[in-house]
Amino acid sequence: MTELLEPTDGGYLLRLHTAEIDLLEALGSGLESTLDAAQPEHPVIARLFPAAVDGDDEADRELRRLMRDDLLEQRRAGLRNLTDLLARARPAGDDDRRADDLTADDGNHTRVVTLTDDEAHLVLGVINDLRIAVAAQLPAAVLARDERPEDRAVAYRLDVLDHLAWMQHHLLAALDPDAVRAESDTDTDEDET
Amino acid sequence: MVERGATIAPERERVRALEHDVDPDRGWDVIVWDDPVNLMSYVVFVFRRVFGYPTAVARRLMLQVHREGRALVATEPRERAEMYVRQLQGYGLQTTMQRST
Repeated sequence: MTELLEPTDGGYLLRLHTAEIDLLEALGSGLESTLDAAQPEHPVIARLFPAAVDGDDEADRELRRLMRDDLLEQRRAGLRNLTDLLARARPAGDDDRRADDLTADDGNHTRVVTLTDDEAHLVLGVINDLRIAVAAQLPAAVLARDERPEDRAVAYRLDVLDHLAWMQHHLLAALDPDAVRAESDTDTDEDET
Repeated sequence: MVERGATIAPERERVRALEHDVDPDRGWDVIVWDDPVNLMSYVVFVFRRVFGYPTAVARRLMLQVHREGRALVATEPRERAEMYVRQLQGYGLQTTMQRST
């Protein structure tokens, strides 16, 4: 078995490539700095802390003020916990290596971490925050796939966004298979329309 | 007994009238908006986890967000609506609340 997240006795085994660990660490530290600076006009902050009340500016200001510290701390704690989880990663045994790593001729790049159910859900949520942060820095037309990225940095961010989506999909397949099935049913619906 | 009731009842009436004038709480609608980032499966997962909706209901709401740009996911008294907005924004879903019409 070489899936990203695999149920084990009382928890899960998360299986990452060393490049994925480096990527998550780099994105996590970038988002942490953005959260620390918390500039309201920064596109990532604007997207992570959006409007809360429609049709009542005063109520909107008040609720956003009330939620802000709470959401900020929740996101910071998520990033800290992810860093701690990644630090626990250990080289996989031969049976646990990922299929895409088994053919590598420069050693074992698969790392594994044992997670509780709560930790697995935390990884899912933090990866969503990271995707939102990456997406907030992409031009809308590129994000909507109406335009191919010209710029190398933009192209790279789009690849990162897609790889994080791939990870999220596989985490969900283990954590909530019904939700993933609901999405594939949707594909069928859309093919029909 | 009768006497006590006679003094309390008008007080209750007065409070009820005051609440009606000051805060005619018709309830608050919690709205989730479409977003080009969140995965469909993730949105279904969040609706199931936050509201405990069955998969079919969560899927119908997710499709409404995806196709119509927004979906009404709950109508609740103010405090509860605020709690849902906070939870859904915590999961990264673009969520607002507004007075029910």
